[in-house]
Amino acid sequence: MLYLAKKGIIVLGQISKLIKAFNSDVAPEQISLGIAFAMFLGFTPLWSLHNLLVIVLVMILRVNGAAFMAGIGLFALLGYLLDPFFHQLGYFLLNLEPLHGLWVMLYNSTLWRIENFSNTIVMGSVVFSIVFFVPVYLGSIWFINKYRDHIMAWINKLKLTRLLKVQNWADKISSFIK
Amino acid sequence: MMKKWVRWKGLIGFAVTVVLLMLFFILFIDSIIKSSIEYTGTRMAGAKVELDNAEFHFSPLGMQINRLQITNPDLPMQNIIDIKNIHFNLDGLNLLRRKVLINEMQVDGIRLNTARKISGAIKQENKSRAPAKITKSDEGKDFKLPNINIPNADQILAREEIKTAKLATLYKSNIKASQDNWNKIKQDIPGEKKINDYQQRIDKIKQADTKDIQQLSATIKELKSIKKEIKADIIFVETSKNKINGDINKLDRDLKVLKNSPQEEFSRLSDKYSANTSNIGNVSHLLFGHEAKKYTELAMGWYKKIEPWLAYVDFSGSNTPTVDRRKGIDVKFREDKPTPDFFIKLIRATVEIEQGNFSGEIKNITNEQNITHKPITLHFTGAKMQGLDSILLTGTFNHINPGKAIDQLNYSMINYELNKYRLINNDDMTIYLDKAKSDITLVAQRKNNKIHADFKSHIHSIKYNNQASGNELSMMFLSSLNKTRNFNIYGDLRGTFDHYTTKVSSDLDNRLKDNMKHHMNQKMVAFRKTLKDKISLQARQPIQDAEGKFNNLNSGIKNDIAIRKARFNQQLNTTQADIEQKEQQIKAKSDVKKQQLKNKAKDKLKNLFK
Repeated sequence: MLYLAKKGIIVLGQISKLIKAFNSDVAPEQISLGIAFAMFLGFTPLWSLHNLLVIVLVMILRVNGAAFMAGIGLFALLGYLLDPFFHQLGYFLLNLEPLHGLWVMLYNSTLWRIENFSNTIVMGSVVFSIVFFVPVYLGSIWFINKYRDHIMAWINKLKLTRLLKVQNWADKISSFIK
Repeated sequence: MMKKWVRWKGLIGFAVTVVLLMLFFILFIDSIIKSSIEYTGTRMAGAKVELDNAEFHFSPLGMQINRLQITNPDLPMQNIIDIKNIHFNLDGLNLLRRKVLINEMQVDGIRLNTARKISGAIKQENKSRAPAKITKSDEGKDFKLPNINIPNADQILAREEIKTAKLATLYKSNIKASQDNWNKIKQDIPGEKKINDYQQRIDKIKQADTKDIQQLSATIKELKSIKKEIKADIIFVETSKNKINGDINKLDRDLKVLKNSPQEEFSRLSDKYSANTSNIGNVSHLLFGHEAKKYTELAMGWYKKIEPWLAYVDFSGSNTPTVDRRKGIDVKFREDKPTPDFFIKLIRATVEIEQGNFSGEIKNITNEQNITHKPITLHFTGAKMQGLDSILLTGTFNHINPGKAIDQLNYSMINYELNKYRLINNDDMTIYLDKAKSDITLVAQRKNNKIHADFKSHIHSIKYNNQASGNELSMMFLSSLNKTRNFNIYGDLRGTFDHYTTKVSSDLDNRLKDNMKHHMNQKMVAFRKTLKDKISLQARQPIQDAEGKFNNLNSGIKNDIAIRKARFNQQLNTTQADIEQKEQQIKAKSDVKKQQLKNKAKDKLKNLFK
């Protein structure tokens, strides 16, 4: 519970940063790409080889850093809840008879052993992230556009300053807990 | 388009980040490894695991660990293992494949049970601790000799009633009853009065005219009649004794019973208060059982700790692995060149003990023997040590087929010197093996989940330093022990990890038992003599009194009858004499009469022929 509470407060700070990014004039594609890449780091175990590749891509490609960082927090919280599902998905895939030959081949490759693909959580979360990468990317673009067209104006009219306060407040709590 | 999506400056940022990370890794790797070992080790041991430092080197890839201390969880001020130095090289490529393969590890300066400066206890919430172990200073304190009391005759006689006195009192009352009975019988027995009557009658008869033969014949007839009466009286007197004979015979029998009663009482009491030496048989268990239990629990505890390093053997019967929700499980696949995830081909180690150093090797350490097809083996030897001729430790941990796992450990020590080894230290006595030598052998085996261990220690060349208080039993025990110059201790353990029994025995038991028995018998002989003397003393006077009264009664009756009989016989004789006298008088008178008749006839004839 304490873990979730801590994460929740951190995520609150991330949400405020995300909204700030939404409100900026950054291209929705860059923000969405940041969110989609963040899914990998949030869902899959941090110290994995594929995450190194994701970080390289995030640094090379024009990806919104704020959205990426905020996305990691959000997906990490969601990932904690989805871990049992990732385990089951990974276990199912690793024991799938038609793929057995492929797994044996990868298992004998040092590179893939470093990737630790034979771990059920790694396999489940990576496959899930790959499958949902494009939908999350496209969904995020659609959402940002909708937000900017309809919700952002409404929010700006209402209480933009309040949101900033919320962000400051969340940042303080977050740094205090850290 | 490309320019829109790619920012090449990011690549530089990434490179800088990677370089910084590598620098961080190079600079802090030693501390990270040190912390990891301490954290993981502490969790495994249940007490602090510390090391002075860890030095990671890249070429060749390996590590050196200096001063590794593992706290004894039961004694936090003591390290159960204290290792001066560990050095090993790693297979770098396999390390990337998450496999720790060590070709050779050098472990120097292993010391056991070293003192710590600060406590190595860790906070363990909600974890029930094992009961406090009895420390060295407590050993032997709880030893109690078997409860063997040498009885005390005075105390027994104060507590127990001797039935002889009671029997004597009863006997005396029986004598009185018999006396009364005799007195009644005596009233009917003819006595002096009757004799006087006879005498008066005789005197009266004798006063009759003695000239007349007819009268004399009548007198004789009367005297004969009296004689007959006297004879009847004599018979009556004689038969009167029969009337009291029943009482006398009973009294005689009772007197024998009474006289035997001290012996019977002695037998009863000496049986009741004899000291039983059979419970001396548990002495060796009392002496060594505690220590055996302590070391068994210690060994089992550590075996459980190292068991996961031998092989994973699921004894629970459950095949469902527990899954950490954040870590998942690693699914294994067939490898082209199968190698275990963790494998140390050879450990060369030197162990430092009080007596000196001994060294050896441990081979093929892995918990995946099904891959290596080699059991873990260990072989340690030491010779010419101080206070120890030789030491040999060998073992095989075969888990190649986890379903048929066999662990075997053999341990032997020759001429291990025991100096001032305390066996017993309590208020009654202190027993030290001032100097002794011990040859120890231990063979332990675990087959699947069944454990079976046999231990033997031959203790010889013993010189004691014993003291005992004035307690008689302690003195006796000590005296018995002092005669023993060597003995064997046997221990065995049977059962499973969770349910096992230990048994400790020793030939000391029988020897002590025999010696103690001998002592006890000597004491019991003295006790029996005292008891017998005291019972005899208590019983002597009542028996003498009773016997005296019986003798008085018996002799009184005999005398009375004898006197009466004698008096009647005397009267009979007198009467007979009177009869004979009267018969002679008759004869004389008849002779005179005959002579007169003869003379008269002669005269008549003369006259006829004149």
